[in-house]
Amino acid sequence: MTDGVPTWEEVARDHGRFLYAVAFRLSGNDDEAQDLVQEALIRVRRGLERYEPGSLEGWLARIVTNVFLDEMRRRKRRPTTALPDDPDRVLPAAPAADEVTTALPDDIQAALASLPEEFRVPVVLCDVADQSYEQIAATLGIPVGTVRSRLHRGRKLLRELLSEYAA
Amino acid sequence: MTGEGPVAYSEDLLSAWLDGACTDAEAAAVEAALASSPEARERLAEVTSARSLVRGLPTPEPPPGFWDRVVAVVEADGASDASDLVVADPASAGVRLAPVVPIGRRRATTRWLAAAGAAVAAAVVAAVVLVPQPGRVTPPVGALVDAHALRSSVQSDVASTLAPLALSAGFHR
Repeated sequence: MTDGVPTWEEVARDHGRFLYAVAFRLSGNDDEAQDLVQEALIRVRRGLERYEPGSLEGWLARIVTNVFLDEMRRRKRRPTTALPDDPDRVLPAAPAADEVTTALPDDIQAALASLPEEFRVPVVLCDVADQSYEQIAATLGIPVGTVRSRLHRGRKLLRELLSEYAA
Repeated sequence: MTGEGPVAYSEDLLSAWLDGACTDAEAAAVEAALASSPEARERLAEVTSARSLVRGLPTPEPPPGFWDRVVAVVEADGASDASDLVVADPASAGVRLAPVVPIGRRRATTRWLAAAGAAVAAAVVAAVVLVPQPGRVTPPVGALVDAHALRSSVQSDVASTLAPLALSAGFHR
């Protein structure tokens, strides 16, 4: 590390799990998370010269989110996988409200993955990457007020989906 | 934040209140709503539950060997960048490991190959369909023109020339 700037190897070693966790919660599956982390570390290596010491995990969360959003945009331009026709595959049929609090991690991840991207990203950045509203706003290029409303709607939707799973 | 006027309660403020992202005036509005509205308390319980569940998720682990592969790919990417700029020691250039193609780039390469294949196939089809082939039927244009000229000179009015066509295109069922 020189002048507070880590090498990319140090980033991979010390923050690799963080990057992978954010990538996994954003993408919802292991294969895509691996691709996202790999691309993010390539960008980290290329961009380290421009990194200004500060919140390293904030910077990393921003990079991996941008990689994810770039991938989503690319897919929208060239859709390759048909969406399932059966809505039950996306939203498995659902238990009582108090059972939601004991939902299994796989159910929570499935509900998270089925949130629309505009709600999922703020939820992951806030509740997985532990980013402030200001950091999320800067990452996504949206006002803080929009972060608030998307985060709140994302959590509400997530709760509804988990109630359906539990039913 | 202080010194601002009262703020109206809105449901969106609940998550911000939970995250400690409200101004003092916003927090006061939320707390007043929570004190007086069972519905606000219910909404708060819902988002609190969702927030806790996501925050309580276990940290996922990548498969074994993942980090070794990623390090190899990123190092190879760095080596290819460096070789684009300058080869400091030409003798060592020959022993550099072949770059590992990143997963995403590998997919992109595959897509490009597929697109190129499709383009070649389309070009072949277009060439077969559009380019005149030797031996194709060639109408006797000269003879047809001569015949038309002869008929026009005999029947100078256009309507009578077209009449048989009009009859054949009548209102048949």
